[in-house]
Amino acid sequence: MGAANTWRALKCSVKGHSHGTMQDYCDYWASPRGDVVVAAVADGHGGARYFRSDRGARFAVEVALDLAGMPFGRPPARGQGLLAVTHVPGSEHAWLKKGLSESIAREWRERVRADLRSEPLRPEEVATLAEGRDLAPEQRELMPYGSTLLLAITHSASVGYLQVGDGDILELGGASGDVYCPLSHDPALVANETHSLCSFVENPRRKALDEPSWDYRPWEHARSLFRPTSDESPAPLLILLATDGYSNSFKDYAGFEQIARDYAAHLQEPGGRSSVEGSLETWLAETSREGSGDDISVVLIYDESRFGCMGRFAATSHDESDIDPSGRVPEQGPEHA
Amino acid sequence: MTDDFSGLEAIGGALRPSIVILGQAAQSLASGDEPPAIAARQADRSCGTFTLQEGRMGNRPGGELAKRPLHFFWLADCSGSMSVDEKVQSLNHAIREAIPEMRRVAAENPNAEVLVRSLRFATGAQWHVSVPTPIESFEWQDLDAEGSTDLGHALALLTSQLKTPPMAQRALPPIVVLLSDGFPTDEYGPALDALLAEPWGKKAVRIAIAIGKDANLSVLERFIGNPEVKPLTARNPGQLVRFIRWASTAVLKSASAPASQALGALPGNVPIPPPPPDNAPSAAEDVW
Repeated sequence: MGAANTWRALKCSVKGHSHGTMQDYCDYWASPRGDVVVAAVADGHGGARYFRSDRGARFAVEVALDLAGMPFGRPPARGQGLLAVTHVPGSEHAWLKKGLSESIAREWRERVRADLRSEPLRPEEVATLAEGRDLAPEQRELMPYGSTLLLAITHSASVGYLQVGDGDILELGGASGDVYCPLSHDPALVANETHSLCSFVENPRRKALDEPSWDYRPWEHARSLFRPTSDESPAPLLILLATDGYSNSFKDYAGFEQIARDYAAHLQEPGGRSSVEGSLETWLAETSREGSGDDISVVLIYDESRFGCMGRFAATSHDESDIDPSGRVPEQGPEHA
Repeated sequence: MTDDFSGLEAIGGALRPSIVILGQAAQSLASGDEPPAIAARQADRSCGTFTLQEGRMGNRPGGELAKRPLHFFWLADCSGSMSVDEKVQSLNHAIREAIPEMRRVAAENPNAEVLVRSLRFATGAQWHVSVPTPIESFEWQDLDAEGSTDLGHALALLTSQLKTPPMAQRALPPIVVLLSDGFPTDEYGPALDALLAEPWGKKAVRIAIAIGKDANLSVLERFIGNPEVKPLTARNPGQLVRFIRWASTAVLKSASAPASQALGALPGNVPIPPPPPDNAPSAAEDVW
């Protein structure tokens, strides 16, 4: 049996260089023993019709942490009133893909409805929504809060991911320095269009005119992955969740993937966590300013127990570079036995 | 061992032993929409011996940063009828007049890199400016007019540039402005269908300006493909200047903003600002 993981996390959000208000949100929960981290980021759509998507993003993250953290002992932040996680007998993937994703969506919708009850839309906001195509009242109800969601659950024996909409999840594997995308990108999501927690699908079962034309089933577009881990198939060294403003800021995707190695390089240094915490906001602000102009939110999850015995990574040099693309630098001397 | 998750029903209470369940499942293969190649990640616990280079702690993570590309296309009808009543001359003038305004909009949206190209179609179609040219250095070379109206050929050339690649995943929605004074003389329908079958073609902001009252508005409406956006009809050079300026500035500004749209929620993924008023021209002002 291998050494137990010690999962730690960091988070940061910055407002887009070209934005008026922040539409992103992110948060995480780490168990006191370090054997579990549950993390989520969400990207409110912004734009004229999504005028409460900052709240929608926050609701998405809060609900995701509440529901995904429950099996691991995290008390739900909002206490009473949560819908039960749908019981889905079978594999853990089914829990992620069907049970958890559906429960998150339904609970998110309840949070939206509660917000509307406490603060109804103003007449001018209602008029803005009326400009859309033929939307059902419930679609208009949820649209202002539209948001994506990315979720990661790291555990001593497994990792799991859930994603609705755009954004990126990266894994960094051990000493090889290889970076992976555990969930493939949806090729249909281009030109700023995304799946959303506010999305409806056409009702294929509609048999009568008085039945709804649209169904609320955003989980049908969710992507998910569950992977058990072991000594033979170890967990990633580092996991990164980010809204799409981050990857959209780089000239190419390889430049974005490099962040996983670079963050690992910084974290592995003595005092690395404090240094990263102190620099993260500056780095993200620079990235938005020089790149996409969009809000950027990121959560880093890393296995602290394995940083001590993994190979070191060289951070990217933006002045000069004499390191190869894998991030390795020539051996200077024995670092570890 | 059970895969049963019935222990998850407690609301707000302590849950149990899903951790045990997950631990027991460690021998199973990964599952998901796209299971990763497990073999590629095995046996990765070796300790390397690398050294962090000096002075790297301040470095921003990641590679080279870049603005998001925004591709702008002019599709210009250069058929023989465009040589009548100086229509093509007015078109050349209007586009040239719009360039400084496009540069101003681009400067106000510094995170979008506006890249301009143009296509001419008459008998067949050709690139007038084939290389995506930064608006800051874009110069308009006058078009002349002779031949038929092969819109389908132009759409086929456009479609080839809206595939991925060469389009980058991170690009902003492209803008295509079609200018025509008449009827297509080739089979444009299949070419238009092929354009709209491409994700970038479907999500491009498509604007159409009719030059004169003889243009086929139903073709232009079909090209736009958005019931909320109608083709504009320019009946004199002044209107053409205003409409081209609107298409190349107000629409450009809207497409430059990085706001997202829920897939399928709205007819278009970029909010189109209202066009300039028609000013209900009098018959005396109508030239075309």
